[in-house]
Formats: sequence, structure tokens, C-alpha cells
Amino acid sequence: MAEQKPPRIALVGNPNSGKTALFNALTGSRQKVANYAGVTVEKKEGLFVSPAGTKVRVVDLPGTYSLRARSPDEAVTRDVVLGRMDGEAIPDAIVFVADATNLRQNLRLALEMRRLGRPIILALNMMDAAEKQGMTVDPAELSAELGMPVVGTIAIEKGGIEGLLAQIDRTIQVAEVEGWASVHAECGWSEPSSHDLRDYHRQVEGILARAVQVPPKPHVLTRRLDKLLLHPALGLAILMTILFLMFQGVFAWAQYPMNLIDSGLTALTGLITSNMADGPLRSLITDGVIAGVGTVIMFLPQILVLFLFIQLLEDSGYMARAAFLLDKLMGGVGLHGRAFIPLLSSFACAVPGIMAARVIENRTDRIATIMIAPLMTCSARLPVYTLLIAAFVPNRAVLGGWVGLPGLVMFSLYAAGIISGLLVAFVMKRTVLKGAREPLLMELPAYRLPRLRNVSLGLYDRARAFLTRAGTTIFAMMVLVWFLASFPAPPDGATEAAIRYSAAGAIGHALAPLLAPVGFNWQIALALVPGMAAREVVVGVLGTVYALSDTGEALRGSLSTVLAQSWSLPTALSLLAWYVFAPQCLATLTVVRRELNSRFWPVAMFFFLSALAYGAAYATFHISTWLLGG
Amino acid sequence: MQAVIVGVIVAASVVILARKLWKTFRRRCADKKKAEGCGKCSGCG
Repeated sequence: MAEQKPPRIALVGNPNSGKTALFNALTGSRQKVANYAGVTVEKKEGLFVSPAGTKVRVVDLPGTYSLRARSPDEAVTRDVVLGRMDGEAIPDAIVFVADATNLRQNLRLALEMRRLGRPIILALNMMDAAEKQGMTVDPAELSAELGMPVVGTIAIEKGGIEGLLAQIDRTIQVAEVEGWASVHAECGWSEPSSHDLRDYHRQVEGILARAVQVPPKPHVLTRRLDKLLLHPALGLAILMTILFLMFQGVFAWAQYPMNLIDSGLTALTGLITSNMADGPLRSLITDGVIAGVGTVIMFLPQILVLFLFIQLLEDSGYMARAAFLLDKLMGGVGLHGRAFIPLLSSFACAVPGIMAARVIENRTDRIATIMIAPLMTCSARLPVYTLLIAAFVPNRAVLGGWVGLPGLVMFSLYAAGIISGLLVAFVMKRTVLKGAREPLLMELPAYRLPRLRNVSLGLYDRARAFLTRAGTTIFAMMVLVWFLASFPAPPDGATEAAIRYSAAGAIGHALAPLLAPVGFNWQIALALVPGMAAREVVVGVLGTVYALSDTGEALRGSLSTVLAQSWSLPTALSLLAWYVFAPQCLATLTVVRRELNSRFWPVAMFFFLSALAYGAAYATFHISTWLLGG
Repeated sequence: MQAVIVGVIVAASVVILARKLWKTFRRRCADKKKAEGCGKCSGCG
């Protein structure tokens, strides 16, 4: 019963109106916020205590333009608001979050929500941005016009939260006096007719005329920047330059901290070797943990530089423009323009990227987007690329000394993933996933300076997630790999490195014939197995395997030096080509199964990506061997 | 002594990985996590 449980309020509003920022401000949570539509695709629930001491549950919902709900993320909002979600009670009250700079669109949904007859508060968010644009909003007039309390907020800076909390207390008190049962009984909704929609539009125009004063030329900066950044040719050139600089930055800026971590790990190994008696524990620490987990952690600076760029682009409002710019290209291969945001999210990890595909209304468009999401290079592949580039690509400037070769190769690998994804989508949309192309309707947010707090928190969360993963899953996997690579012990009189006689050695050699045609040795074959659970573990496994392969003479030094001595260039290129497609990620396949509610698509994904990976690696290995005269 | 400590660490690692695998494949659990809104997933930590 609602009377016994804490009251539950739902945050509802248009996309990019600041619902998640408000949710974070109310609950102290740190859910992702960004300056584009479609960041939240599922509901999130939290708890806070109001100034009156009432425990209140709050649910953050995906943005929507209407309760008619055309896409899966919008359906979540509709079902929660209307109490149609299985096993969930209808929310006791609604906080409607409106972007004060875009009230014409936001108020239409507010009027639709008002028809539900539920207790509702209007949180007039981004009041600072509205003031900067020269807008004047009269909250009292707006409240009188809408028949609901209105509170001004700046959620991202926690501005106006006290006022909102006080209003939530008042709303709860009124509902308690009237009785929750009567509040719940009043709920009713029917899909608005075209007549209703026209009526909403007329009402909004009237309300705006009476309650809002808009300057004659709103937001000159956004218009001027858009003229340049959305230019069909110049805009694309600027986008390519930004992406190119991003990958140069990933290499150049991260080098110093990476070297520092590397030196620290080498010193730590030396310290342990000289102060600890030889035995299995010492081997586990040096060959398993430091050579394995340490090698993975070394890539943290690069991942943070990559995410710094992404965060700055997201916060500034540029990402939505990038989607707009690439709509023509995406449309050319049959993808929906909205696929850009899920595909972009996949550069962090394919799992949230696939979930973000819920913003796409049409199922065939959604499947096509999901199927190519793993072709966008996720951050777990960055360590593999970096390791191989450091080992085999000389660190020198090219193109007149302006461009670093490692950064250029990295850019090419990311580009290869994107181009392959577009080609796969092109084929799919003309064969198994045929369907008419739908136009892209996307709201372009106003530009704003990225907020230091938001950027730092985003990077902190990313670093914490990476280190947590390294300290738990990757640590456990490396311990297991070390165990398998150390036991059984070599027989008496063994002449080769101990690992050759171990269980891991046996597994690697059993798999090796399967991968020999693409140039992979048994060490790579072994590393690919745990790499299915976490792709970056491949780097750690290679670290451990080569540390244990060391017979005491030649193979001392960083892993990249060891690989440069042990592998041929065609083998390294072949592994890079393999990792552009890298189909082996259990988490990705599981989430595809869940999102599409089908066993067919994850199986199909595994096989077509495996075929692509094998084919690309095979071609790369043999062509490069032929070119190098091997 | 070193062998005993190593045995404990290896056993703990097996338990951690088994739990992780169980969570990944147990759909009900994953859906529950989603409903609670942790915003995380087995893929990106």
C-alpha cells in the first residue's frame, strides 16, 4: 500500500531538460548527465529525505515528447507514469522538469500531463541559461496559467533545490490530508487526438504570451556557431579534425603518466624480487599480478584522455551536432540518424551503446544499430591497440612533421571499425533488415561551456570503474591464468620454459592450429580465451605468459619490447585487424539477447563478427607477409 | 607458507569469477539491477 511505503515521485519531461541532473541533486547520486537528448534510456530510482523529514522515493525517467510513446525508452516513461509497469505502483506525484529556454515544446507535454489529474509540480530548470538568453519567465503567472506550482531550478548547480523540496513537502501534505486513495483514483489518460494537439499548441502560445518575455533575437552565439559547425562541408571537416586531434592527444598526453606507471611497476617488481624468497607467492605477485594486472592499469591515462575529449564534446552540446552532420552519411547506408548516439556510446563500451539504441523507434533500424555497435572500438580494445602500436609502429612524425605516426595508426584503426560498421549496416539494410528510411528529428541543445565539476566527476567515475574492474575481475582472471600457466610444474630435465608444460601451455597449443592460418602463435590463442570476458585482459595474459616464458636471459623489459622481439610484423598487424572486429565479448552478447529478446541475434552477431575477424586477420597476415617478402 | 597463501588467493579468484559469470547469465538478476538503476553493467564495470 502506498500509505505504508514512502511516497514516490516521478521526474518527467522532454529529453535533455535536466531530469537526471535534478535526480542527482535530490538523491546525491551520480548518474550520467550530458548536453544531448537520449542519455537516459531506462528508469532509475533513488531515495531522499525531505526537509519535513519524509522519506521520498524518486524515479528518474527517460525523456519523452508525449505519453504516446513511439520508442522503447519513451514506453518506459509512459508505463511508469500510467502505472502499467508490472509489479510497480503508480507514482504518487509528478515533478515535471521543463527546460526554461525551450518552453514552447516543453509545456505541450506539461498540458498532457496535467490531464492525468495527478499532483504535479513544474520544475522550471536551466533558469540561468534562460536569463543569459535574455528571457524573463514569471513563475507566478505560469503557475496560475497551468494550475500547478512552479519552482525555478538550476539542477546542475543544485540551485533552487530547497524551494523544490519545500514544494514536494507541501504536495505530500495535501495528498495525505485528501487521502492517497483519492489521488490515485483520479488518474486517467487517453491518447491525444490531433484536435487535442492543436489545442495544446494554442494554449501554449497563449501561456507564453502572458508569462514569458523572449528577446527578439534569441541565443545569437548558438546560431553563429551552428552556421559554421553545421556547414555541410566545413562542419564535416571540423568534425574530422576534432576526432583526429582526439587520437593524437590520446597518445601524446598520456605518454608521461604511462611511463611513470611503467617505471613504478618495474621498481616494484625489483623490490619484491630482491626482498622476497623465491616461491609460488613471489611468482604470483610479479608474474601474475604486476605483469598481468599492472600491464592493464598502465593504460588508464589513455582511457582518461579519450574520455576527457568525449566528455567535453558531450557537455558543450557538440555531440548532437555531430549526429546531425553524419545523418546524411548514416542515411546513405540505411541507418537512422538517431543511431549516432548509441554508436558513439559504444566507443566507451558496447553494452551501454546497445542499451542506448532504445531511442530508435523502428525495430529493424534498432537491430541494425545494435548489430554494428561492437564494431565501434570500445575502450577495452584501446590497451591492445596501444601495446601493439608501441611495439611495432615507430614513434616519429609524418605528413610534414605535424602528425605523430602512432596517433595516425590509432585513428586508422578506429576509422576501420567505423567504415566496417557502415558497410555491414549497408548490407543488412538491403538484405535481412529491409525497411524504409525515416527522417531524423532531433533537438539541438544550446552550446554551453563544459562544467569542470561534471567533467571531473565523469573522469573520476570512469577511473574508479576501470580500477575496480582491474582490482576484481581482471585480478581474479590473472590469478587464474598465472595458476594455469604455472602448473603442472615441468618434468625433471625439461629444457623449455616451464609454461610450455603447464595447463595454459596445453590449452594454447591445442588452440594454436585453429589460429595458425591468421598468423597467431599459441600465446595469442591462449590470451583470446579470457579475453572473451574482458577484452583488455588479452594484454594482461600476454604480460603474464611472456613473464613466465622468460628463461632468464633475453626477455627482460617492457611487454612491448618483448613482443617486438618475439612477433613478426604480419602477426601484429593480423591481431590488430582481428581486434577491429573482436567478436568475443560475453557481456555484449548477453545484452543483445536481453535488448532484442531473441536468441537468434546474439548468435548471428557472434558468427558474423567471428567470420569478419578471421577473414580480416587472414587477409592482413597474408598480404603483409607477401608485401614484406616473408 | 607461500603455497598456502597462493592456494587461498587462487580459490578466492575462482569464486569471484564464478559469481561474475553467474551474474552475467542470470537474466533475472540483471533485470533487477536495471530496475534498481545502478546504471552499471557487466560490460563496463
